[in-house]
Amino acid sequence: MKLYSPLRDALWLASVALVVLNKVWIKPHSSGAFWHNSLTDTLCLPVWMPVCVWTFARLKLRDSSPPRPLEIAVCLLFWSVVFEVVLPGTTVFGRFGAGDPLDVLAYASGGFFGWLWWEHLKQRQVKAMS
Amino acid sequence: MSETKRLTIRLALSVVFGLCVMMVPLWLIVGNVPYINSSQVTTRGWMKRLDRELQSFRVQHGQYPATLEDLGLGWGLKDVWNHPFLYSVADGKPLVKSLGRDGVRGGVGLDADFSNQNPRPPESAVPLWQKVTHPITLRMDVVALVCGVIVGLMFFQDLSKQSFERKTWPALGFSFPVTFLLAAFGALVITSAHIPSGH
Repeated sequence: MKLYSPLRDALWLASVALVVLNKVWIKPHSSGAFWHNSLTDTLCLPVWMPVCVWTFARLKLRDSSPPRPLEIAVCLLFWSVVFEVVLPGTTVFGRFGAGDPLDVLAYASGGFFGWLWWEHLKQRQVKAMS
Repeated sequence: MSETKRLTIRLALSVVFGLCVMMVPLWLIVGNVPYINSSQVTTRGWMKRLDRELQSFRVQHGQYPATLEDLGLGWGLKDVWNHPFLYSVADGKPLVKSLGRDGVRGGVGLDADFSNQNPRPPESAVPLWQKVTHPITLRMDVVALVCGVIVGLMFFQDLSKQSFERKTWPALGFSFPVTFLLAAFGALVITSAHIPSGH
């Protein structure tokens, strides 16, 4: 069975491409609130979860499978608290934005689609093994 | 362990974790809606202006008016919630009173009574349940609920592989701190790499 790597994950590749595209082309040419406020938050989990689990797999702290639902859920909770409650209250990071409940919804939406995709990846791996 | 007990534990843990996630948007909602008492603030402002008008009337006529209509202002007869102000003169001082959002005596938060003589009684502080159930925040409550449900479902699915037998506790005890460590690692990476550059 091939080990999980973000570079072989279509969702990760598409998310990173979309983030880059948004930063260099869509944002400067569009005034839509979604592109400016919500896209990076929606893609936060699909972009960063694979990087985190791959790093942890390399450090032998977890197996080399796609992100598990529990990991997505814990990251969603932890990152929501850190990025929406704790950091906006600090002087250093407060200037980058304020806590917004809609950001949490954006993280959850990204996590939800990530969850569906990574479960699909796991099932494909299991099928390939059998 | 019986299947029913396993299912109950899965459900309970999923609900608890889902509620934890729900708390984040709710915390933000409660912390970021100081304008929820704007109707009270506006009514207090009107009372203050009425008080000044009543003092002027007294200077001009030697006594306070019998009714607020006697001021002839064309405004100031009703509060923000469109309930008439109660007006009386007691101990030589005018009393202009609002019965709050519900228009009946008593109540707490937005429903509390307040007057020009006591504009901020302790019971007029908006309690948590009024903030969460206020029409302004209802949309955000749905957001919180959706987030909680999504995470609850993820948790529920992940726990399907857990037997919750005593022998699996050490493995669980190891996986939870590692998962939190992973989340903390992610937060650190995102904070240093992503937030300053493109958030």
